[in-house]
Amino acid sequence: MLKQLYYIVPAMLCCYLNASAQQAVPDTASRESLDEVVVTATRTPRSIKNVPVPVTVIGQDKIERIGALRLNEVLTEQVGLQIISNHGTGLQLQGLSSDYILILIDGEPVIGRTAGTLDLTRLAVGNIQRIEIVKGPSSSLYGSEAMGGVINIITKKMPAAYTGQLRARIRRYNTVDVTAEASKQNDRWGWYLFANRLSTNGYYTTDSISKAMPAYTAWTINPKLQFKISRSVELTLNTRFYIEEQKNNQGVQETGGLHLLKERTRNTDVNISPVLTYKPDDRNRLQVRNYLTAYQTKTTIDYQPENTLYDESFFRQLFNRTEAQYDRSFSDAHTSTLGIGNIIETVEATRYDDGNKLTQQYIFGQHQWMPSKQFNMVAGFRYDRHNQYSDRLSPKLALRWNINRRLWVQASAGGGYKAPDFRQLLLNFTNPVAGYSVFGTSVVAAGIARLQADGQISSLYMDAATIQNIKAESSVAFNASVAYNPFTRLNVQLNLFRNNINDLIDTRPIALKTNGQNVFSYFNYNKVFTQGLEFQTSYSLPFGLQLSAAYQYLDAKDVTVWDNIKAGKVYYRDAATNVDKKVKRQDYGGLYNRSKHSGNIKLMYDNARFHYNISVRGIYRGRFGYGGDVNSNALLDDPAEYADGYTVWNVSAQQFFNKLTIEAGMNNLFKATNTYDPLLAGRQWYIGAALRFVKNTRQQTGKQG
Amino acid sequence: MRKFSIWIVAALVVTTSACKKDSDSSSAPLEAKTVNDINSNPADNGGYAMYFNLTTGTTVAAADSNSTKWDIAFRTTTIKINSGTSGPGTAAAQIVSTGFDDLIEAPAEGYATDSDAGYAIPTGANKGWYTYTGAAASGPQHAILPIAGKTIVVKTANGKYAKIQIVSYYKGNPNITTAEFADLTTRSLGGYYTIRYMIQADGSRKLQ
Repeated sequence: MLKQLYYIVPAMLCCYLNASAQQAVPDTASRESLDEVVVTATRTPRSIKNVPVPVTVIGQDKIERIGALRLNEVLTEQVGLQIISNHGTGLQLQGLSSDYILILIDGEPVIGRTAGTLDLTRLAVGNIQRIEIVKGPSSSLYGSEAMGGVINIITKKMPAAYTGQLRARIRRYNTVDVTAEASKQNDRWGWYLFANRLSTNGYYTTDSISKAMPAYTAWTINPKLQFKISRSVELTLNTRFYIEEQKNNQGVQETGGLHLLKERTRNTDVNISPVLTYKPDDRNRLQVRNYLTAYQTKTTIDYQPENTLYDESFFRQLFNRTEAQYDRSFSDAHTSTLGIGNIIETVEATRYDDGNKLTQQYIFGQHQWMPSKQFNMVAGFRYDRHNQYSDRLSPKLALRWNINRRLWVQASAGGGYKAPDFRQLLLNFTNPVAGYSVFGTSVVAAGIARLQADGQISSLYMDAATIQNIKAESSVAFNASVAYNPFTRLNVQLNLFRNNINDLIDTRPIALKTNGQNVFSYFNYNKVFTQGLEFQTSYSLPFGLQLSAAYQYLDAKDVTVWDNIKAGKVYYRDAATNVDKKVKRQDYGGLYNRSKHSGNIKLMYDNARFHYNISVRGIYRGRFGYGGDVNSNALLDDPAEYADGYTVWNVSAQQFFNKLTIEAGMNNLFKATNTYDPLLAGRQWYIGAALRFVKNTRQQTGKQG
Repeated sequence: MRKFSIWIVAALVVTTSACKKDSDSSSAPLEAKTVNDINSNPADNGGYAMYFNLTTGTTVAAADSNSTKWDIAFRTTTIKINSGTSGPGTAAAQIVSTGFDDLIEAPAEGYATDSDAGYAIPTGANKGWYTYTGAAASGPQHAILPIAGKTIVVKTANGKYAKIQIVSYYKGNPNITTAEFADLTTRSLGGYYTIRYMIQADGSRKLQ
């Protein structure tokens, strides 16, 4: 909420600026206000004032203002969101990693994860009207992966006038980003076209053969069409095409010494989403959507300079979701939503058997009750049935009380879940060197039977037939917030959260092979919790200055380890004496890669007279466990097992002329580096320009908003 | 020889307890012994493991490997117990997740012998007593490090309980956090066990 306000004030200032200099373009300008409508929290358009769960909105102006090219650059400046590099550029929210965060584009899930990470650098930001971030589980509406939170990218609307924009940015490391977009809404139909090309040489952060950020070239094309079939029926077609070519170097130790390898990866991503909306009146809305998406990645690694093949792997995922959602308002106080859906998913990959088809059916329901402007409540559930794992029910209950103009509170409780991933269901892998085998739960019985028939099994630790019906990883979470603005210029908000996550999936040995190695499969057995608080404040200073600060305290622990530490059963080895000692409670740092302390401070300046803005942002990440172990207990408890904290300072500025915007900035001003964060490049300058046009309207430039 | 040494130990126990004024304890606290640099490398032992007698606290010649003169044997990272597939004895062992000093009584149950299904002390990184650092991003690479808080409990062929902590796998029990240890060219030789152990001569499970 505060967050909103914090964008609103500069936004309003800019709007004022626009209004005085020119007329703002309707629709494309995202002018946020306290009455801003959000859709992610309830799957219905609803004023942010009347949404009982924590929602943050990042508008287009904000995204442009900081010179962001990709989604990770926007999200990294938000409190409570941490960008983590692990098989791609992923996200961490309330201490939950990328696997547990659902990323949507206009309400439809983005697929294609590598080891659970959805690479945010695949998502261009030029077509974004706003980003809605809902923290806490939303599986009651969105199903799997909406455990830690949901990031919903809302793409731009079609403006009434023929509007277009050309934008180019150049950054260090030979990074060139070019965007072209145009759109128009006619009486009966409208269109929008967005095209973006980003290329970069990537960069090294350490003295290594491989670049921390590989060189790549990526194209994003996003055409949208909209037809008004009749007064009450509308058809939209959203499509997105993405193609990325990556290049990197690697080295492999072989008997002849270090051998150089060249790695090439091609990622493609296609989304096609027709949506039919029937809205006979203000009280009824029926939406039927079909979302087809395909993700494919292929990696080829060649020996250099011979150019002979070292390794080749691929992964192909096809996802089709058909869904119907009906919303009915009985009165101003009551709105019900009912939805059903069907998902068909196929996956092919190097280490999977052929013919993997996953099907899922679900039903969800929600009721919103708003007896007065002061009070509102949302209750909902979703029931998922899947052909590869156990059924799952996700409930949610959320309340909000606007006590007075200056104070409101909200509280929510909900269940979240994450489906077992493909690996956990389908993997069929035997290590050619070491000789161990790993089977996903859907193929384990057949895999064991095959090994037994081949006489490769020495003994079974358990009956393979009993290893089935793996459960989804699930959570129960609580969120509570209070916001207060003691006077107009100051806003303060505090959120508390707790996530109890059960049935985490991990491997366990199930049989011994005759070669002395184990056969592994996947089981639900681990539990973790994350809890913390988030504090945000913003203050409007005179002369167009806006100061904001935010902080998150995070505590994320493994329940079993924590219980054992409390019971005095966990040891570490003292390096000087090689004697085992008990780990003290206060020394347990919890889960790796979580910073106990993080936050940001931002100063925004808007000059209404000369039409420019400047922003300075400092993003702090406290120390975090990097995953290493120095005292022989494989857990985070020694100061040497932490990576140092750091602060990244970014500066950016925009100058608006009539149709032209000139932008420049410097990211990571003081060259913060960290061995364990490869995404921290050196100091990166950028410059850019945007040219807007609006046909048949004089004095149109922009939407610097 | 072996009987003789048992008598020595027993005599020591008796004399030390006699010196103690405590009337409530039947025996004095046991003493933990440390044995340094047990060379487990078969290349140095004529292709054999290094055999060890917990009662005498000394190594046993490989020629006696087919006897009950040894309790436990070390062959690089593998630890064998004189039983089943490893020797003619009836010893048994298990790994417990309690620190050496905190383990004051041997468990009554849970002992295993070496068999075709595996060793009583499981082999392999993170399965038994050690972890292997591999190409770790930080700290020493490719090192065999004992897991903190793992104690091996052995029930010897003559029914005596003993607890063992593997202190180090490297010659001279080096500090593993030093640059010298991290550097593979200066790291001391592997396969040299330093162990700390305690054996209860009276047949009870008390290990204190």
